[in-house]
Amino acid sequence: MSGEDPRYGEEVRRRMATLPGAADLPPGPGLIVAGAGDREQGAEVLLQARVVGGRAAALSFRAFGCPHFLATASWLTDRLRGHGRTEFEAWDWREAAAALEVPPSKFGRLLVIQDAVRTLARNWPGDDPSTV
Amino acid sequence: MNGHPTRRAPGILSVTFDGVEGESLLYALPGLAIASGSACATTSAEPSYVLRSLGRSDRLAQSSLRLSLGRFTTAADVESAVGAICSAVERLRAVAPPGKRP
Repeated sequence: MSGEDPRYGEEVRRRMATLPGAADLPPGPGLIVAGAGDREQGAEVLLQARVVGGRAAALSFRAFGCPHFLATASWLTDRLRGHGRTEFEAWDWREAAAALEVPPSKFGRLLVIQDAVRTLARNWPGDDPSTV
Repeated sequence: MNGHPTRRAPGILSVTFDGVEGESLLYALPGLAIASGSACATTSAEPSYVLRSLGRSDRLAQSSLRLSLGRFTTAADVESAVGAICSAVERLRAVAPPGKRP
């Protein structure tokens, strides 16, 4: 994809060119999945992470939405790689809003992604957060 | 295709691509002078009332493109546009969450 529309920042354009992280992780131990949003409302995301040793060794996404939404999901697969449950629980959408220059009219869509990230944290394997 | 199959204005075509978000589809087609039924890029997310009156759901109205032929549009231009649109639609459908695709 190649867009030069000035409404989209450099990171969104870079992400939309190849959408890195848009895939399914292979099934196996440590795989957790979380979805949020509603296609009928224009934004739906499915996040996947493989937890190894209490940390997200790999992440991937699938998403339906506008370029800011798709790019943010892609960006997250890099941003949260290597982090544990505590970081997933604490992740805040404002970080993505700044990094990807998301306009205020789309902040609500970032909350959808935050919901998915926090659901991933709730689905984290193991019961003891201190082990993460 | 939206609208009547034969009783329609020549040179204008509205098409709905289920499973594809309108703004992302427009983004993926920078070389084409097209419009979407979606108002996602503005402060309003209201889908086209015309498409809704034709019976399209909000979601489908937001997944629609309006294409128009110009005076100097050639058959080769149309073929090129068809190829670009098909490629973009296939790619966006491929990254969408499974289970709700057409």
